[in-house]
Amino acid sequence: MTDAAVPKASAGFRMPRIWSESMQLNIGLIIFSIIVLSLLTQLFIIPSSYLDGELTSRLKPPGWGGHVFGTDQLGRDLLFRVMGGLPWSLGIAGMSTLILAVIGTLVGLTGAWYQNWIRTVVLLAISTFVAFPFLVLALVMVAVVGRGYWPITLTLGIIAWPAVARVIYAEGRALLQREYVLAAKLFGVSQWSILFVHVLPGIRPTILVMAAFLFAVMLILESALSFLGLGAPLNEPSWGNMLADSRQYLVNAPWMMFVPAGAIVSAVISLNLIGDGIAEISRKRARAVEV
Amino acid sequence: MTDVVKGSENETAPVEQPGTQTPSISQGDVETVPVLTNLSRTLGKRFFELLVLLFAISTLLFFLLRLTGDPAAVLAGETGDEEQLELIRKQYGLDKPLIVQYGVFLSKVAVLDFGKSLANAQDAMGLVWERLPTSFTLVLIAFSANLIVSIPLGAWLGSRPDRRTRKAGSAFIFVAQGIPGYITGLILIQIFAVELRWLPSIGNQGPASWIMPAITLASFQAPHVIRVISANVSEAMREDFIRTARANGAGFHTLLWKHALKNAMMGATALIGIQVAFLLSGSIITEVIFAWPGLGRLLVVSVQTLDFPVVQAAVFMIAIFVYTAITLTDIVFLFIDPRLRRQRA
Amino acid sequence: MSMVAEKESTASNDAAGTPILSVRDLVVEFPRPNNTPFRAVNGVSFELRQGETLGIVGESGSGKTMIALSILGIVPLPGRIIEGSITLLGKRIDNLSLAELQKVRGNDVGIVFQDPMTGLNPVRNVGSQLKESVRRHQHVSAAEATEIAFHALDDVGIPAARDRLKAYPHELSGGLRQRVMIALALINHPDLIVADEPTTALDSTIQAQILDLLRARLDKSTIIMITHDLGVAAEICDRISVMYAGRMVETGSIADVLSGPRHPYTEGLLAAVPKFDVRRPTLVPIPGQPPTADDAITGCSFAPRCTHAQSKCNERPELELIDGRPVSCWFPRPGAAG
Repeated sequence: MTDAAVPKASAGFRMPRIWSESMQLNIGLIIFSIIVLSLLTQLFIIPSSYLDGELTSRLKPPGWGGHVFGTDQLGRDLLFRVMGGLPWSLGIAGMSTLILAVIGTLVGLTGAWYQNWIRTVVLLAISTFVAFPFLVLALVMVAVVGRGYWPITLTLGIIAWPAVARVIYAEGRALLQREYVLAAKLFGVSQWSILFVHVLPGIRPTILVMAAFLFAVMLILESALSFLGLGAPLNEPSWGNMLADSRQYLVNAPWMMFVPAGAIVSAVISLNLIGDGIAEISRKRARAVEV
Repeated sequence: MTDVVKGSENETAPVEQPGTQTPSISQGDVETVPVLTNLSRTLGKRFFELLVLLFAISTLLFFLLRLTGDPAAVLAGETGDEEQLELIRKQYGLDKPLIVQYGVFLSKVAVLDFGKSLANAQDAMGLVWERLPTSFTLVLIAFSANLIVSIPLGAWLGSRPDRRTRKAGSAFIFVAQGIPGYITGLILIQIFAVELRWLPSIGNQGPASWIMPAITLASFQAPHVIRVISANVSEAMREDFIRTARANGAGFHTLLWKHALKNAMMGATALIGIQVAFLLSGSIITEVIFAWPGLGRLLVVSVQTLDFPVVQAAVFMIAIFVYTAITLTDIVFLFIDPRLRRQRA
Repeated sequence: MSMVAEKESTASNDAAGTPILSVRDLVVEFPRPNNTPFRAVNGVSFELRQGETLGIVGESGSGKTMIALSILGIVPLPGRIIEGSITLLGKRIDNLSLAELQKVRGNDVGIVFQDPMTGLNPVRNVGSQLKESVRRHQHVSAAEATEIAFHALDDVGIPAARDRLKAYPHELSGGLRQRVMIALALINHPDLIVADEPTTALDSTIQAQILDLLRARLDKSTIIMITHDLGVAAEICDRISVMYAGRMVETGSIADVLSGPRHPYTEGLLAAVPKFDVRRPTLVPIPGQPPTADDAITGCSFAPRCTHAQSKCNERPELELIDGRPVSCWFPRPGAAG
């Protein structure tokens, strides 16, 4: 009984398989999982005193005295620090991506649905803000709202939505002109159920792809803010802060730069791989449907 | 048969490009819309967007500053006592109703009067004007370097994407895209200033000191441009008109440089305009890394010291800069792309 | 038209007996991952004489376009000519080097593709695309090339041809674009013109104009007309070859084939064409679908759809002369009687 019912209910929906057809996506997911897993493990493994350095072991190279990645100018273990930076760097980037994806999708769909002044306003807002440098807005906002975890997250989430809204608007509009949507309209299906039942599933791959890329952009932005001394509070182990610290010690302790740089680069590359991979898969499926 | 083989590679992102739609098939005469009509329309649209942006940003700043605390306290800095605060409130009109303050603020902004810097009492806009040429130089060098390298390289990588060297090149560009510019900058300093001692790493000291900042700044977006152009070129190389040209004896280089690249560039129009915005973001970081005395560094220092008049003036100038650059690319492509230039009415 | 005289190739090959084009046992294969290669063209042979117009008729996917692309050596990758020979003016052209092949393309053989909307570069004006081809194959100055381009457009009946040189493809209607494509194919006075469904993408009134234009060229040119439309073939061809699943199943003069089809597939095609002048109760569709790449058919590839198929049809029929016409069928139809 139940066996027969399952495929019916999930018609059109595929269980997400862990190993996908896109090698890029697989590699990206592996790297990203390693990074996230180390985030989880650091909560249990790292001694609570990891933030305190020992001044006797300042600026030691990787491998010295059990410090796998070496130590910084205050004698703090760089491996623990880079792991401790995960909630700041990845956390802020992830949360702000979630916020901007939601805002961008809602604004984009709103613009796609209405054909009156609302669309005009949405389009104007998108084309006005999409070209303005994110970092400048972020700098100014952070100057006013402060440098805590949530102020930075909200700032980043709020400023980058036009990038999503622009694409969602274009795709949403194309979908809204399809025959099945017109038919649903004629049958009097309400606006939001058309948008959520007919349109949203169609743009889901696009949202996922953009979210993956913007996650990387947000990570870079958060690190940039911290690097400029305007992001996470100075003592917090945000990767951007670590990079900023390293500038003073490039001559004596280049590993101070390479450790956080490696963390940022591997996270960004894994996210780009995931984005490319999802795009590749959805392209293949779209083509399979057309053929 | 042909359908099976071509595999219909339609991978363009659904970015809107007004005016590029193919007109419907019908017998008729060529009708021409003068370049000027399109030009003034484009200029008007961009100018309006700029006004909206400037208005939105100044309003945002005005209210944020007042929502989040006492602006007098911010203006006075950490040392201000109650007497000083009173004085500042009077001086800046902060004792008046909010809506009046807003009106006064907007009327001053309209004539680009942002008041004096809190740090050294100089005119805020004057400080910004002073720094503009240095930033402009850097952005211009990086932008040109970016296009000179990215366009041919992207075209080459996209021309036969299945060849082994090009696959390796694309993989390299993919990794490069994952390296933020500030890391590139630090690595450059590590290699060329610290290890090799070839190039100065600080300040504007003539052409040698431009090299690393320019490469750093270009690295913010070059990989992205290369990838987009390469994708566009590889798509253009599968178009029907390429087959027509091949069938008429065109060789690989004619196909790539004379046919596919021009089409690929048309698709990259929007990207190259938006590039300028990214380059400005990048220039802020680059200027800080290389202690470059430009607008970006001024902005960061002003934000750090909460010097709001200068922050506002700098943001205004950056907005104008971005929109001027985007409008210029609009105009350039208006003249290059025949489909935008002349349309059947 | 003085250009024609200058081309040595035409001069030396005017002898009536020598074919302009001779295709022998052509096989074009597309490798498929984890599968046997797909044969888009499977052993096709035909000849064309000076001034002759051959129609190649078949459904989409029958391999007719691949024949056209093979002659120009532009079979899209990963497809490849693996067997056979193509001889143009007594010279093998299927095994030429790329540089030599590029001298043949657009110079000895001109091609008109199906879709005029996408076949021209949208960001270059018509004149520059014509001139590019002229200057590649003829040693002329830029000004002379402009004149040649102008005459080419004028010859194909484009009004105000001199102004149209500066026009971009999007500024021209579909019919005008197809005329430009034809001008491009003719501009270097090729010995052979291949027209691949030149009228399919056009409105029917414009179709007629383009056919008129092609017919006007018939006396001077040797043409391969590829089409799925028997009506189009009937209007301008001397001979037609019917293709099915990569093979030619029947070849003959247009009158013979239309009035007395020998192969059941040809017969089926004719029965499926609406006609005004013949009283016939209904159109008769051919049952079933053409074989796909995955159908492994060892015998006659039409057998699964053939109403006259017998057990013998599990063996592959060869082309045999029936009333002087090559037909590949074990049980040919009676011809004119049917």
